[in-house]
Amino acid sequence: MADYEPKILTILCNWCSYAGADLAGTSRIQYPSNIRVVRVPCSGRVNPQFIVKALRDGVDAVWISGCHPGDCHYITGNYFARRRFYVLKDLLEYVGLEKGRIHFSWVSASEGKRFADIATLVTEEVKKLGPRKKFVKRR
Amino acid sequence: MVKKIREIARKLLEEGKVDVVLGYEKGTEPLSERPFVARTVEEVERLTYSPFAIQNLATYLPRFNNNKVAILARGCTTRAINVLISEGQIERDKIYVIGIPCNGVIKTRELRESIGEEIEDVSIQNGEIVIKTTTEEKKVKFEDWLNISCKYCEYPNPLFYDVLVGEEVKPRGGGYPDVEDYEKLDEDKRWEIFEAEMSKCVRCYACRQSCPMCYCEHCFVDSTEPRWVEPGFDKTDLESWHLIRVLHMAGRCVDCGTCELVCPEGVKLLFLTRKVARDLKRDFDYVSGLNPEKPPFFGEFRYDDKGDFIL
Repeated sequence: MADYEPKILTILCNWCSYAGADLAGTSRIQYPSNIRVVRVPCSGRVNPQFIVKALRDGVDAVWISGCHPGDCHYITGNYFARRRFYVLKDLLEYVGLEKGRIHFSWVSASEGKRFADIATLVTEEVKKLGPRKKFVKRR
Repeated sequence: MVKKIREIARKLLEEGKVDVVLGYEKGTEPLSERPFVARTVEEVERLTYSPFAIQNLATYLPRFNNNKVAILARGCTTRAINVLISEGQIERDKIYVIGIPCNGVIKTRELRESIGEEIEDVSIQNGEIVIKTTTEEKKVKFEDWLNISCKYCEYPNPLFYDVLVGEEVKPRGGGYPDVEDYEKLDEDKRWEIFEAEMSKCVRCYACRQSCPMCYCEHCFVDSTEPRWVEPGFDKTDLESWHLIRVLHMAGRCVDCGTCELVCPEGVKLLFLTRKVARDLKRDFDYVSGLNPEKPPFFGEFRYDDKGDFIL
């Protein structure tokens, strides 16, 4: 699977992680081009349904990133998100989806390097898993 | 017990304290009891109760919001009432709770299928279910045919009531051994079982219709834009439906087991809802439906919530 290039749906919050990605770009830090970014106002905007639908629609993995706890632009949005992601991740792994198909992270606007590092880490992990065989819709 | 229920119901209707009494009546065949709404004193005679009454009656409460309602309530029913109150769907003072301590309900569909013959009569004697078929009389153990949630039920007695019928019973307890057993299997095996269970689903939505928490007027599964779940019987669509349904139940499901008991195809659903309930209890110390004042699980947070899974 050397030439396998996964598609990773990446949902970034507008105020921290998206700005972090921007900083990684303006600082000319290299990271894999496998991520496909969707910008949302806050990680609290992310409904777990989005993730289930994205996986069913065929992305290889999902990565969601928001502000560090305490840094949320809307004060508490990421705390609500944390609970939701916990339940979702545990449920999907419980029914047998491989670990490493869903990732969460906190990345602040000043952490361009950290953004690139996590993007690399996530991509490498998904590449190791290979193409998804579970939860694939027949077209 | 049935006599006492009828007596209470008659009195309530006669005095005009309530408009309707939500209860159960005999179904069309033995081993089934269906929900019944008694509106007049004459209809009270049709009310009955037994462990074959599988439906959680709290499902019907939001539909009677303009009436004063009396409801037969087990432990799980009162928990469902609490969740509905906390979500602003119903008001406590419009509901008269006839509490019933519950020893568990029976997996009636599975039992009927295992008998395989036409059943003429059923009765419960000394912890055994005595089933008279056209040819013979069979006895099965009550405990063997218990609904899985009832087997490990911690709240068999109504949490609150206006009147209690019968003696309070001892909770069985016992945690979530079914969930733990499933967790011990390896990943691919778990997926195999999950996929096999879900592919039995025929999308009749009986689980949704019977669930006391599923009161949304527009369900996500019917939504066409965005289309969360596509029509048809692709495995992923059936799986999506059940996964998202369980996510919507997180912190709200009261573990009454009605969804699984009413499923015409025998899809196992409780191993999913009970898994979430177990997680919330273990990791967040949250049990749904114990306190109507408490906000829903996803409507609050703690600063020290579990976050070690986040990079």
